[in-house]
Amino acid sequence: MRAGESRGVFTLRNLDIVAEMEPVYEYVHDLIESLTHVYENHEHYEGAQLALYELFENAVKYSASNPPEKIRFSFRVNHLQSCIMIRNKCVSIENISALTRAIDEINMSPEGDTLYQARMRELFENPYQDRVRLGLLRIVVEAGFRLRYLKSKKFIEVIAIKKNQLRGGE
Amino acid sequence: MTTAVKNTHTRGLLKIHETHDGSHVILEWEGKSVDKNPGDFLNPILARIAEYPDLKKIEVDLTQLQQMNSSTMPSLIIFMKNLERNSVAADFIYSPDSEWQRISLQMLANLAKIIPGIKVFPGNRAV
Repeated sequence: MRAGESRGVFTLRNLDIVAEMEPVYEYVHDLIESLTHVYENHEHYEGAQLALYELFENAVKYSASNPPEKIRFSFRVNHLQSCIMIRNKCVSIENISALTRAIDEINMSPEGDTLYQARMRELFENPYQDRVRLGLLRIVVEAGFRLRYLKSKKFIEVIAIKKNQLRGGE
Repeated sequence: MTTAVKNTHTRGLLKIHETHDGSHVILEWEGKSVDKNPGDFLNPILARIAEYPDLKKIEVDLTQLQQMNSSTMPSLIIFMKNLERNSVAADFIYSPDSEWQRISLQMLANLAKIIPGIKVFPGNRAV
């Protein structure tokens, strides 16, 4: 197969990527665009792209940079589920607490879109806030993932999991 | 009769094609708004457009926007508020075929209901 033919109908069912990188937004951006270039026709990739951008953006913003700690990342997709894991060392315990509180709040809410709309109203009242705080809500409401986390001292691991719907013939 | 002025604003993977024809502006967004700080690019451009003299109506066509990070949302809200302040009517059009656009932009549509002259709705690409 020539390189130019790699973006046709995608038939690979399983994706399994593990990597780590410096917490630099441009590196993350290039990684996601590389994945998108290859997998954009994969039946379960569409929602994952949104989750990748939002999770990585959080990880880069709140990662320890002095000294820089690499972000560890895995992305697995098969016919049953899509799973994204991102682990990074945060600048402070407060960052971890804010993140875990936000995930807990989303998981305890029966209606994620109610929280989403409430946050939009807050942004409408004051759009010049330091933190937008929509990313996790979008991962759940728009991309259909569930969020989990593991924390250890200054490290946080955020896991986004989505059951994949079987399509015709499977 | 006025002649339409066309201009394209580009940053990273995002292009905004602007067509300015007297009192009417069309902004067609294309690509992805996934910069770390999209407001650095978007806010000055959109603020300047909202201040065009004699501007009466803007169509913001988002149907070809493939992806948008959450940091882009405040820029859209600020733009809406600037348009309201200047009494400029605006239609924000999104793609009904895009899952993320349907949800994200519907959230924005719910807010826009309280802004006179601003509408957010699904539709086809502006002509």
